[in-house]
Amino acid sequence: MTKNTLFQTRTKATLSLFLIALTFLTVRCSPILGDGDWASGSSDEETQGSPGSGINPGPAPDPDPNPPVAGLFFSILPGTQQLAWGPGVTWNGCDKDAIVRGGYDSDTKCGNGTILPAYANHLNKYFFGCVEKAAADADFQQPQKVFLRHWGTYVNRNARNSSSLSMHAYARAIDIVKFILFDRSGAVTQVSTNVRDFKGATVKFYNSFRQCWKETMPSTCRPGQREYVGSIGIPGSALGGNDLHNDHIHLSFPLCAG
Amino acid sequence: MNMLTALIAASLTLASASTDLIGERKVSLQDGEALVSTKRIEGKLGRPYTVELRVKCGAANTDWTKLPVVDSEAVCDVKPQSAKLSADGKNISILIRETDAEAFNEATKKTAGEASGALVPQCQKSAREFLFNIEKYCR
Repeated sequence: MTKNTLFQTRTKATLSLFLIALTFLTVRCSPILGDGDWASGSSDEETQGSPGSGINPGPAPDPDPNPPVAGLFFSILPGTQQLAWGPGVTWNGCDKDAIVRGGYDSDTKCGNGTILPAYANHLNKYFFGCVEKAAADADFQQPQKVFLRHWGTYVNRNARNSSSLSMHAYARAIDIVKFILFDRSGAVTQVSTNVRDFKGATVKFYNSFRQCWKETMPSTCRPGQREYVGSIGIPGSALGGNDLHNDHIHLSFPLCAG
Repeated sequence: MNMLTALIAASLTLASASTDLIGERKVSLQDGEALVSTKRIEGKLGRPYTVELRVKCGAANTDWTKLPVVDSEAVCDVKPQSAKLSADGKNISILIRETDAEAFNEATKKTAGEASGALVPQCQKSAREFLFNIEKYCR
């Protein structure tokens, strides 16, 4: 093979690989180049979930003969299930008799959540007390009940930007988007945890609630861990924060807590 | 072949670096410019995309990456290229799809144990406009 032929062959190979790489890049970046497409890649006509998602709850479990445990703040259904990384219990966010109710991403529609049994105990022991204290510090009427708009409890996933499991994977976290407080007169006070609403009485409620929750953590947790759990939200708030949680409170029960 | 290896490596690096950025669009304002970026950021159940707003006032030639995100919203789905200035100039609108919270809440009542950790909310079919209020910028 002459030098010239060898050069031509190499040039052709280089160009071919460059075109392959360019095609690859174009495919990867096609949403950037496109105009008017959904980020998920779905069409306007499709009922599209998040990529790779799908709700397939399967058959409903048999109705439990035992009623929910009444008289507690969080209504916990009897029985413990095995989750991916430990045990879990079901929080019935719809129990009308419970003081703390809640639902995924809704102010009115309730649902169930799954949490670690020890976290359930901790929530029942301290959560509503912290809500009451925060409401008092914010000069709200004393709440009688609260509905939590949340973004999920148990989710088997890694923490953001990390290869470690999230506290959600251990059923040790609830992402609280809004507290909807009901006082004795039936009046409703909504407290958003979005940085956009971080002003006035909301600041007092938010800071007081986080401080209170932090103080419920046992001494087995180091100071840094205790601050993280209340967490961690609005940059500039009393306990600090980061922009990963600037639109919800990641209320967690860390491994150090038991 | 060194040049070839370097070329492929550079291509792959660029491809990897672009994975979280889904799309972006610049919008001209009365006295400046806004950049609306859509990123895929995991960690918020049922809201895998985050739309970020950056604003550049006047004719400043500042690097966008050096400007802070002044507002953001996590959404179920979004059309990154639909960002535009509203007719009254007070908002930047962008088409989004909200999460179907009602269906997800119903699903949580029928699922327990480990299976509940794999439930993922779906997006509603209908689109709606999300508004970033921009009145407070460039004043």
